Amino acid sequence: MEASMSVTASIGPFSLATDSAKEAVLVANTPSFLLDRLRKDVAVQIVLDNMTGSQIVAALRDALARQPKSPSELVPAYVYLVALSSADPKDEALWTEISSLDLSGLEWGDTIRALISADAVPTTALEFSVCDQSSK
Amino acid sequence: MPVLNASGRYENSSIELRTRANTTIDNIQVWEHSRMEWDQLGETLAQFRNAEKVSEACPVYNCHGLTFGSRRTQVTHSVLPILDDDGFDPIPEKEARAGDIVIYSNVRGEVIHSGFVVARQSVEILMGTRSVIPIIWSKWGKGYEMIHTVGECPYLEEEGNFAAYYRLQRWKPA
Repeated sequence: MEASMSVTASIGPFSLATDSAKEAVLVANTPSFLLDRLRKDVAVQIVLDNMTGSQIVAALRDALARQPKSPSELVPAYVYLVALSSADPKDEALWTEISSLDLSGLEWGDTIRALISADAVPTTALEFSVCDQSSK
Repeated sequence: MPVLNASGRYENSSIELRTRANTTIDNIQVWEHSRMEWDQLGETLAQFRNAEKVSEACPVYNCHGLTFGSRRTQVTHSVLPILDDDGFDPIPEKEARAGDIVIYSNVRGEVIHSGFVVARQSVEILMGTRSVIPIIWSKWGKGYEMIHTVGECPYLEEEGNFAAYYRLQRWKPA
């Protein structure tokens, strides 16, 4: 938890409210548009480069616990949530944490979580080899 | 009227809204945060330098709320059935004129924005190259109503996004 606090403090939620992230939250008409825009935003990249999945969940929970008092405070919360779309689909513990988040303070929180959960389908890798028949 | 709940937040609400064919249109009115507060997110829109802001920010209605709900509420579900119910049919871009509706979709075909065509105008596309293109009046999310060329907005920036045009051609539903 201490690690989470220090990372969050070093990034600072308001430094995540980049101009492009603020624009995305302002102009979005649908949750999927906001998800698509923020996925490519530098603010989400900053989060992914500096925080683990559990740290992101903790930071999001912290942001929501303070009840955003202005649209500017909504921006980091959406950035954290969208960053979770890169969570490892096989990390069941993390996805349990994500599922347990109370996102009622974010207008499109539940819808975006449903979208990223639907995308996070674990894939199975099959290993196979091809025999070179011509060498026989 | 907006109602404050026990935690001091405005509760969302909805109103009775129907298509011409009397189908209920899902909608939500968002009352949280003031115009001034939403304005704080709008500083970067200056990048759309030829787009003209023609209203203040307002979270109560969205783009579809302007196009299909007379600014009363956010229309939140698919708008394509509304167009069909109301008697609109698709038309080619070169025929689009004032009064037609433009629908923006992403590469997956999901509708992400809508607005009205208000004019056609000759604009410079590349250096020395001009083209007559639709001018759109639309509302950008919880932000502003804007007058802009069809391409000068946040909704065609992603690769694969596209705009389609619809005209009221049937006076009664199919």
